[in-house]
Parts: sequence; C-alpha cells; structure tokens
Amino acid sequence: MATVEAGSRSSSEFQLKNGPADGISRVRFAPNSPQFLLCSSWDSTLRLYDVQANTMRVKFLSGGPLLDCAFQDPIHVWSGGLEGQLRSADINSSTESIVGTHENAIRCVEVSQELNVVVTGSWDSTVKLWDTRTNSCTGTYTQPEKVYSMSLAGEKLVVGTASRKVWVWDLRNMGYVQQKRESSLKFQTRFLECFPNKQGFVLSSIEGRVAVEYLDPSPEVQKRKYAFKCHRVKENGIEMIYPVNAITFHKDYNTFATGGSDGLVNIWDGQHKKRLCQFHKYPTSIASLAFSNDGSTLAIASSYMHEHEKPPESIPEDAIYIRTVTDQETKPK
Amino acid sequence: MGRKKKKQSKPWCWYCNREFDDEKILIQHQKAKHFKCHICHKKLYTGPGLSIHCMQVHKETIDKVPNSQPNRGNIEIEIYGMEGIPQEDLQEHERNKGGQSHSLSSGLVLNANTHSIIIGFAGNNDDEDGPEAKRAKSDSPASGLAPTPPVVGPAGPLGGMVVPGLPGMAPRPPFGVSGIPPGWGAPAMPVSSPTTYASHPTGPNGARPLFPSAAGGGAASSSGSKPTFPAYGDTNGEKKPAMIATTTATTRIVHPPEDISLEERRAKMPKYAPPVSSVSAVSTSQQAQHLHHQAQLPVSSQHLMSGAMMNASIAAPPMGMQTLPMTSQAVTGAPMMANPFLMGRPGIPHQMGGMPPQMFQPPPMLGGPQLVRQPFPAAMVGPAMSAMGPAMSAMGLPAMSFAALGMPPASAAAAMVQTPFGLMGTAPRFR
Repeated sequence: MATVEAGSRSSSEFQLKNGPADGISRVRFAPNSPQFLLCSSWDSTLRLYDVQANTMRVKFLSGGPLLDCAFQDPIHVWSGGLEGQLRSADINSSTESIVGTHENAIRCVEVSQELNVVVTGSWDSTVKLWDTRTNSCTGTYTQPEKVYSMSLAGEKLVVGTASRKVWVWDLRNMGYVQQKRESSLKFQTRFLECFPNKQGFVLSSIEGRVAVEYLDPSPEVQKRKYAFKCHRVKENGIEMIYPVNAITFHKDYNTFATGGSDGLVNIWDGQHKKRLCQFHKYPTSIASLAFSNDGSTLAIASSYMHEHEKPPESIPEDAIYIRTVTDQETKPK
Repeated sequence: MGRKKKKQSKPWCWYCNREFDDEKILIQHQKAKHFKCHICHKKLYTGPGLSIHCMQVHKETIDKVPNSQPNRGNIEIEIYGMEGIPQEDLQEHERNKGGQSHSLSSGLVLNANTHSIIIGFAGNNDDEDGPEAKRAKSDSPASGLAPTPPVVGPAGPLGGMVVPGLPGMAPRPPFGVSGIPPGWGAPAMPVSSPTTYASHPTGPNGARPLFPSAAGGGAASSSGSKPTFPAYGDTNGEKKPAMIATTTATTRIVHPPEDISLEERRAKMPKYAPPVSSVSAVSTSQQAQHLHHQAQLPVSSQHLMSGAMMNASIAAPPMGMQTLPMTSQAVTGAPMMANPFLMGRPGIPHQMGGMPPQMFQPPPMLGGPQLVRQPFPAAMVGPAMSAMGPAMSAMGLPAMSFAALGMPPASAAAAMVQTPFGLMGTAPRFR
C-alpha cells in the first residue's frame, strides 16, 4: 500500500476515514506495526484500517454488535460481542469463522501470543480459553460476576467484573484463582490494563478515578499502590465526574493514557505520579484508546457511550483519531 | 494481622475519623480543618473554643464543628488531639479497625482510598472483611467513610503527593466532607452486599438504607419502573441492579444510576435489543408473538440471499452438521437468521423452541448465517483490497447490499464458503 497523506491530516493528528457507523467498542493496533488498526463496533462490524494510507482495508460483518477485538498476529484477529460468539478472522483471505460461543455476550477478548491462547470474558460470568492452534475451547472458568474488563500480563490474567471484583488467574494453571481481590475503587470497574512490565495493573472506575495496583501480594509492594482522581470538570460549582473508559500503555516508557467520558485524553507517568499531558477535548466520550506497539502513535476512539439518562439531542459522529505522539507527551520527565 | 499494636497507637481524629502517624499532625489537622473560624480563619484549639470565638467576635453561633462527620459535629465536646474522645467512641474505633485493613493507617494519603487490600486467600475477604465493614457502616456512617475524602487531591496523582504530612488538607474542597459522605457511603456498601443495597441519588442524606433488606425495597421500586430491563442475560432477571449514588450536593457522576456497565445498558436499547427481549422467561405470549412477527420481516429479505447461498452450502453437505455444534447454543441456529440481534436472548429461543429440531438443520438455515457473516469475503476475494472502499460503504444495509454482493460471483461465493469450512473443520468441538 502506498502511503498517501490524507488531505485532512493536520500536523499531528487526523481522523480515519470510513469510521464505524455506530459506537466504537475497541481499537487495537497490530502487534509490531503502527500501520494497522483494528476496530470493533456496535454497528456489528470489525474493521481493519491502514492508518498510514488512511484507508479501510477489510471489514467483517457479524450478527450483532461487537464489544471487543484483538490481534493474534498481524494476519489473524479475534472478536466477540453481544451475540456471544467468538469469531476468528483471517485478514489476508478475508474469511471469518465462529470458533465458539458463550451463553451471554462476550465482553472482552484477549490474546496471549506466547501461550497461543485466546481468552474471552463474558457477561455469563465465565472466562473461556481457546487454543489458537486448534481453535477449540480448552476450559471454562467461573468468575464471581459478569466480566467487565480483562487484561493479560504475561501468563497472568487479571479479570475485572461487576461488583468491583478483581480476580487474578495464571494461564498456566487455571485450576484455582491466584488472587481474589476487590477493586480499591469504590465504584464500578470500568476498565483495567496490565503494566507492560507485568508487575501490576491500572484500573479505572466510572467515578473519574484510576487506581494503580501491584500483583505482588507482599505488603511492601502493596504499599505502593495508589489511586487518583481524574476526568472531572467543575461546572457552576458542581463537579462533573466522568467514567474513565479506556487505558492504554506506552510499552517502552510504562506511561499510560486514560480516556474519559469527558472527551479528554490524559497521559500519566504512573511511577512518578505525574500527568504528562492532556490533549484537546474530543467531540464526545473517549470509548477506547490504543498505543501502537512502538509507542509512536495513539489511536483515539471518540464515540458516545450513553452515559446520560437522557441522551443529548445530537450525538457527535463516532470517529477514530490517529495522533502521532512525541516523547515530550509520553516519556517520564 | 500482626500489626495490631501499631494500629492501636495511631492517633485519629474524632471529627472525621482520619488516622495520623503522629498526634502533632493530628492537632495541626484539627486546628486547620475543624477548629478554624470560617469568617476570620483564626485557628482555635477546641470545638468549644471555636464556638466561643465565633460568638464573641463575630456574633455568630456555630452549631457543628466544620468538616465533621454527621454524628461527630458536637461543638460542646472538648477534644484536643486524642484527648477528650468519649470512651465508647474510642472502643468503637478500635473495633472497626479490626475490619478495616492496614491501608487505613498508612500515612500516605494516596492509599486512603483503598479501604481494604484483599489479596489471595479465596473467600477469606468476604468472611472477614465483609461483615466488619458492614457493621462499621451501619453503626455509624462516619467510621467507614473516614478514609475516603482525603483520598487524593483534585489534580490527580500530583495532588496526592503534595502534602504527605497534612494529607488532604489543601486539596479537599471546603465543604467536601459534608458533601461527600452520603455519596460515598452508599457505594461503599457493596463491600458486603454488592447487589442488594440501593440509595436515592438525589436525597442521600438520611435516606440511605442501613440494611440490604431495606435497600431491596428501594431498588425494587426504582427499577420496577424500567420496562426494558432484562435484555441480555438470564441472571439479570432475578437480581435488580444495585444503584449508584450518582449525585451529591457538589458532585455529579455522569453515569446512569443503575450499577451496570454502560455496555449492558446500551445492549438493552431497542436498537440492539427489540422490546421483546424484556419479556424473557415470562409467559406473555402476546408480546412474544408480536416480536416474532417483527422478526419474520427481516427474515424474508434475508431468505432471498440465503437462497443464493444455499447451493454453495449444499455443495458441502457436512458443513451443515458441523456448523451446528458451533452455533448450537440453543438460540443461535434459527433465530440468527430471523434477526441477528435477537440471539442469545431468552425470549426468542422459547418461540423457536416450538419448531421441530430439524428446523435448525436444513442447509438453507445454515447458509443464512454463514452468508450474513461473510458478506465481505465474497466481494473481496480479489487481491485488490483498496478497491473495497466503495463497496463497503454500501454495506450499511446488510440485507440489501448483501444480496447484491453475494449473487454475482457464484463461484467466488462458493470459494468463500469453503474456506471458512477449512477453518471450521477443526473448530466445532469446543467443550
């Protein structure tokens, strides 16, 4: 694919053409390349974009809204959604197949390349493992509640569920739960993402707050955990508190970006407890964020998530912005 | 829990239940937080001192100690640091701390939010922490809440770091304490009873139920008015979602009051889940029938294209059998065709269940889903992906454009069907 500069491209940021027609549930960059971006949507499509050329390369249509997607490798991608089916797609041949089902919607899909396993978390309160080589389910593991968010740190699987439970599993030994925790935040878990260095995870709640937690249960390590407020705006003396919907890590710097329903993206240095930068306000809620593997690019999905009891009169279009980030924005000072 | 001794020695503030590493800091805290005159900002030494100061200097009466927990506002009691705290409160504090883990005592503000660090030891946390925490909260709303307000400065991580010595003093909004407790109090309860409590978002102050049973009533009444409730998931049908206190005097959480994820809520929207789904297991054949009819509509249009596909699928007979297990989950086979969005819903399967099982089997049925899922491949078999652009935009209406795409290259369609099967051959068995 020739690299074509899109006309609308501004200095560091541009909007992807051919965006999904409905809510964006997840964006993910391909492993090892900032060129390809995968996107699952409530419009029942799974789309692959060539970010550099700003074109959509492939689109798969499924039977229902998709809630998550993930790359296995640059060619093979996985997705799951409301219909509870786990789908595997081959980008080169543009073929897709249903690998298996959950009894309720699949909320999360994660892939461990090292272990050749796909992990799905569902509202049926189970996690299932799937062998990518045989496309078969290798186990079903009951979780305390509906799975809301999941992340992998090496062989560790961190599952965040309803009722603020956080269970930590070891993919090599799923016989028992390694750790049963409760979220340190007092409100519903919205998203969680493991550190690239696998030592812990960052968890966000609907109440404009983010917790940095460590997996090592020893008291010295646990002492380092903390939480902070963010994605809040004071309006007329009332503090508006927004859900923090997305977290993504910069693989090299261990810094992370958070996106909230306030339409803002912040980048944090978790180690030094500092905010590195805040981008301009996007048209609506940040539904998903993804750093490219090399940390050069940030994909920002701005997509209304129906946080309000009464939806606003006009809902901004669902859009994906691709932003080239600088060291100044992402590197600890 | 070998740290009992240390914990006992931690000084704490009677007015707001905060713990401190050092009584000197505690006294500073009290002077700045609780004994400061709101008019002239003079720092007094005790509650009565403040009251007398205000009376004499400003001719104002103070009825409660500023920034105190609701039941700790007594201006008459003379408290200085740890001195003067009523005996029973001392004891209660000690007792409550048993349930709260050590994170409370950490002087670092940042940790304050983590009222419990529960790790490992399956089940332990519930037995141990749950009841304790609950008691703490119902006995005195104050006790369990104390750690919360100071959590972090408003500016994120930075805020928390600024004042390790005087945690939360600067960052806390002036009336934060009195404003926050109700909001925090309710959500804190799920610790012990995650799904049963409820709170009234607008008037949290005395309305907060102390016991789950009481809360159950509240939850029932509020969620009873929501007709589209149990769309996805049968588990939903039985338990009402907990409610979040989204509104306090000074804050508003931009989130619906039901304590379910935005996605779950969205999935219940008519757009994704036709109203029928709310019928769920309930009889109400009427509505179900109605839905059924609705569902039929799309079917017919899709049948057209599935017809086109049928040949291809027949060409590979085993496919029908293979696909079955994959999509079997009771619901999927037939309803999927009727309306992809209906799948997995409890209501539909019952309807479909009325049909003889073979309904699931004939190739046309299976051809449908395959097709629906794979519109693209058919069109995309060619190498030139970029050419796809226009074709895709036409995909907005799956059914219609589908037929258009699917028909022309019959051979391409066949090819595409086969490919998935190659993949699927290994797939079906998943348990």
